[in-house]
Amino acid sequence: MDQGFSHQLVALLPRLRRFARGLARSPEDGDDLVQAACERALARRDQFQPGTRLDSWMYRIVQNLWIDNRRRHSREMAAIDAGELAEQSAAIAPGAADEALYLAQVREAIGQLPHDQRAVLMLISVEGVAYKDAAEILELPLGTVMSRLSRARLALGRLLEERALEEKAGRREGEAGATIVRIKR
Amino acid sequence: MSDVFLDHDLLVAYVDGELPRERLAAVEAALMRDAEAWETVRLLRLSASAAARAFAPVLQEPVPARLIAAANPARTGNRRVAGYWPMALAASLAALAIGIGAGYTLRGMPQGYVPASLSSADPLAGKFEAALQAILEKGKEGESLAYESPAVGRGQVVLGHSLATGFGAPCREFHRDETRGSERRAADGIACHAADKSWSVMILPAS
Repeated sequence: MDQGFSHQLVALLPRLRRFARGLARSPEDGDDLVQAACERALARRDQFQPGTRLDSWMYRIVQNLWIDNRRRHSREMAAIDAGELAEQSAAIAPGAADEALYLAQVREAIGQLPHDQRAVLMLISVEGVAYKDAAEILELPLGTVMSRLSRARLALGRLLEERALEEKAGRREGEAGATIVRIKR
Repeated sequence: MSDVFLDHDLLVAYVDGELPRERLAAVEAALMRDAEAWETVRLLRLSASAAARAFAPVLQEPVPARLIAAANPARTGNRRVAGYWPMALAASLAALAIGIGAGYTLRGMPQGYVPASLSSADPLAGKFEAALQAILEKGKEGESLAYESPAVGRGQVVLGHSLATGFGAPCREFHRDETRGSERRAADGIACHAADKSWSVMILPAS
């Protein structure tokens, strides 16, 4: 087999993992998704058109597998449970904790978005894919991509804002109570 | 004069720099007169930056060995995948040596995961690191650079093809041939240039 293809695939792994993490919501499930995508890509290697973008092709495979999986297991587990969050905060140095916890909350909030909005948000706002490329990857009209993206981004923005305000209020009340993080469940 | 209707789709495209140049002025003019739209823009910016930051750390994580094996099965076969670790070839060579040293230490472990806290003062690893960095910056395909650490061993890095990954991070293949004492090891690797000019390096299992 052409070693170059495999090497390109290896080079893409960090990005594919990041994309899959956001879709699947847990590191293990995300990596399972990437592994399955690599296997499918190699099995269908001859369907890849040389000269087109391998990253787009791989994002599409990951996304399609994710949809297939969701159909199979319609129940999804919450990615971050309270215990895990507490553990994280214990392990993080003071100061870094605020940012790390905030980012954990952001991931949780993204995990709560409707599936089709989440895929668009991950591709465009996390992976940095251009609108028209995202439309191609997801096989959607550009207008649909934009409306899903704007809904996802606004919902996320409002949620984060709300939490920031809550936290500020909590800090004012709780004086020396270190950082009190409220997580709505 | 401006009859631009600032709906959310238009605003998100504005925030993401996806508006056609010729529409930009009209949208900005309309925004100046619309406080509510400005608030929307602020939220759209906030969420973009939060989402990007929330997942950025994933890129720094070591890639599990099972994924490398899945992407590169011809090379790994059913051989144990080991000695793979991503590392940043950045400004700080000291920080790099940690990544490399840990890689050597963990060679042969069934998992590709490398705890960042594991450090090792491996002088040959440091020499390899320096040689790789030097050759990556300006090397041409086929160019090689030898390195040596007296009493430990010696090795050679050969630069391979450039890989087009499609995501704007040029990557290079390289080959490493190294002898420690009487033991000789060969490995391939891939180095990708990150946006911050550092190199992210992955070593593939020995051929």
